[in-house]
Amino acid sequence: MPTELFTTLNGFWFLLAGVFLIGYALTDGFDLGTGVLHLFTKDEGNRQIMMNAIGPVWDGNEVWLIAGGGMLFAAFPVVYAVSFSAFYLAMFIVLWALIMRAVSFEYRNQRDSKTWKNFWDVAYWIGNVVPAILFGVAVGNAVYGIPIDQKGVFHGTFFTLLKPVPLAMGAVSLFMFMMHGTAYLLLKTEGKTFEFAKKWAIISFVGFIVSLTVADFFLIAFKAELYDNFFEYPAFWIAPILLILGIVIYFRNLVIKERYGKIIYGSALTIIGAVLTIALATYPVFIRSTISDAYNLTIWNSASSELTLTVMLVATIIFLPIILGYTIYVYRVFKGKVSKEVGYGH
Amino acid sequence: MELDALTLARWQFGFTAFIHFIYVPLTIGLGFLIAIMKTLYLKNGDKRYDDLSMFFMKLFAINFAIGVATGLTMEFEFGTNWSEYSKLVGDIFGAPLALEGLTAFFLESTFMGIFLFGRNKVSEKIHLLSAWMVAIGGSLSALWILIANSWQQTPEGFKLVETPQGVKAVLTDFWAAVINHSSLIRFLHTVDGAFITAGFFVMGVSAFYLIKKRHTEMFKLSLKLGLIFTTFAALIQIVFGDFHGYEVAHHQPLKLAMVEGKWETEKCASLDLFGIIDQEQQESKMLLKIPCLLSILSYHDPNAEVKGIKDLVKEYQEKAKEIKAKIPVLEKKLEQAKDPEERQKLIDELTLAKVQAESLNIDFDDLPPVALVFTSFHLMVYLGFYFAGVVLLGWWLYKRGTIYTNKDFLWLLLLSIPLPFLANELGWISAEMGRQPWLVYGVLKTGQGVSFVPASQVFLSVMVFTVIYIALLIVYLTIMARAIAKGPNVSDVNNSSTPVNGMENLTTNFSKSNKRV
Repeated sequence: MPTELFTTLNGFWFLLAGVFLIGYALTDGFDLGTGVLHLFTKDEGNRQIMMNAIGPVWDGNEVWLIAGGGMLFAAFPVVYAVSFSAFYLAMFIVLWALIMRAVSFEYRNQRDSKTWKNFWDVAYWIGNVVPAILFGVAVGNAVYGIPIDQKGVFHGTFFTLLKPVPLAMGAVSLFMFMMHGTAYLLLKTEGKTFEFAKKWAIISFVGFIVSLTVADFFLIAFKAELYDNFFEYPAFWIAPILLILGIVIYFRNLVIKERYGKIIYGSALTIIGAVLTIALATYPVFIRSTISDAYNLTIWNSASSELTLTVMLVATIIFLPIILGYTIYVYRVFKGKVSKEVGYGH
Repeated sequence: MELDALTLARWQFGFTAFIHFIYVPLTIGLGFLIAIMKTLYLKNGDKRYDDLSMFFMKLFAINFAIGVATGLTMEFEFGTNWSEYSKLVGDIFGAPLALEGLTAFFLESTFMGIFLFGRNKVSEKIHLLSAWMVAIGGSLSALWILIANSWQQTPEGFKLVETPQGVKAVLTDFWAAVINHSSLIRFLHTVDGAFITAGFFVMGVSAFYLIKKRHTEMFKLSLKLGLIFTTFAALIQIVFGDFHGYEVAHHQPLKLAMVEGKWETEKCASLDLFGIIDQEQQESKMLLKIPCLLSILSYHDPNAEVKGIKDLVKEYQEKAKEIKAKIPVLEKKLEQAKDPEERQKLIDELTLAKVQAESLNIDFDDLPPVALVFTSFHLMVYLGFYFAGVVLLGWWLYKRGTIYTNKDFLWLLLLSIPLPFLANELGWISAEMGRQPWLVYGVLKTGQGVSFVPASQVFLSVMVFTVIYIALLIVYLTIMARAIAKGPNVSDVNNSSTPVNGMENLTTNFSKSNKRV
């Protein structure tokens, strides 16, 4: 394992960026995953229960994205600036989707008209599906490479971003979040909704395996150098092993042992493994340039000054445990099965 | 005006920030009022305070959700539309944004979830704690964002360095950058504005119920609480406003000249209450001049000189020329310098000189519409005095014992709800427009910070934002109005003077949706 991951500020911040990405994927993954299922049931009861299941927590979950964005801005401003401006329209599409999702939560139950609810149901669904796919597409583009020049200016269009590797990774992230969302529902619901979630857990699992295989295949075909790190640093294998372990646990608890409350460990591990695998594969690069390797944005040429990294590190060491503490607390407060009566709506 | 990427990006940021800032102040202020209500309930056991806190927290949640959604936009836009700015100052500007997430945002949203949904799952103490955490989270959030903004207005604690990716501002002193010259007073002024907003909101909503004679016993309490709260906020705002003006005079003289509409330098400068500003002719026709007052307010000296826009622009131009002339001298010195420490110092000086030779070279064309800066600032100030007047009138009626029944006053309160929102926006306009032509005062001109994104894409995003935001604003207003019309969920019927459909609230949606299932 390259020691600079732990011994330098830049390396350590690369790991911390991973922590925030994982934090976001693990928590908002519940929301995205259940949200994707929203239109797959016509049953109002199912829909209401699924929304209630994440009602008390989605706000806090989305904060991981805001905090993660802020962290990226603070620690690796160039990566932040280049990715957001290069993925200009894609970023705004994600943003508009997230806005729709946030407000559908508040507004869906404000009126009883069927048209009103249908409208917000569609808005809510789009608000979850689009980010679930585009997050994968964005990561795919970062590792596959985009045409950026020495100053980080993007020379391409929106369609430059729609290549096979990123698209396949979009599918991977969609199914990954669906696995996680269904696992959450299997923990939090019962009855009809539970049966519904069970069916979709299997579909998501199959979809994930297929898309992961396809994405892997594309990566070998188009970007084989992404595998170099694993040969250079054997310790990096820990990440794909975690991913496979997650998949196995998910499958075992879902199909063989039928321990539905524990499937969530499988999906969580899958997410952790997947994020780590892609991060370690691309290390130390954040965004590859297809123009020249010299223009790659790495942890060295796109980071903030030592002082800023230090200040932010101290802040993170103080506050991250506190955040984790009360996040776990709030999940414990709301643990148990959800019902239709207690939930969102005013 | 040409619709280039820069103009569009500015429109987009201005528009989205304007709409976002409708919601934010209410969130910041209302959090405290709710926490106070909850505290009063636990202190004296009056259930009405508990019902009030739950009721206002529901309004808070509607407001908060849309505030979060529109706030996320702001964080995206620094990267999407202002990527050159983000590259240049990310080392400094990114940290407060990240700290906002770390220290404030998690706190606020997590505990709001507990407060709203955890009523029966946590103890009263934890429920109270949640209310306070929401309130504290809101103002911590404001603190970090205003620190970031203040650094743009009065940058400190950094130096400029050349890198292969372009010039970058690098943090040299964290606390100097955080505190700079204007953070503290900007924070106090803005958060106090938020308090006034929430105070008027609570008073106005209470007045609505008193007019309608619904839940009157309960909303008398909140009207009085709102009055006490707003009195402090509105009166102290006059002091904060004065401090803020004093600070601007010292650190952003061009902004001072614009908010006061002064084209010419004046000794014993007058404070002009009304005016028409002709930017082309570079003159102002003023009405009601109070002699020497501006000099007193700005410099605490009646004979102090207040520089006019014309002289200031010329000064900046001359300074830019001077600095430009210094560059070859510095370059020569650098060639001869041997001592590494001295070389470093010269390199830093040279980088700064190169940047400032360009950024200080401003022209009259670079100025924002001065009339807008002048008018928005003056309107804000008048509104500030209006708020103070309303609360004093409220106390006068209170002493006479008619505050809860005087229909005219109650209507005045109800109709005044939007005014603090307006004052916040006007203040924001004068602060941000008055900062032009710079993005970072004296360091980076606004045009230098924009992304290299095709104007067509920016145009498309402006369109979509306009549609989404206006639609959301309409929906927000409707839902707020409906939630208020529906009224609170009163737990004890005896406490309510009128037997209104109290229990309808939380359960309605679900019980109705159950039937359809």
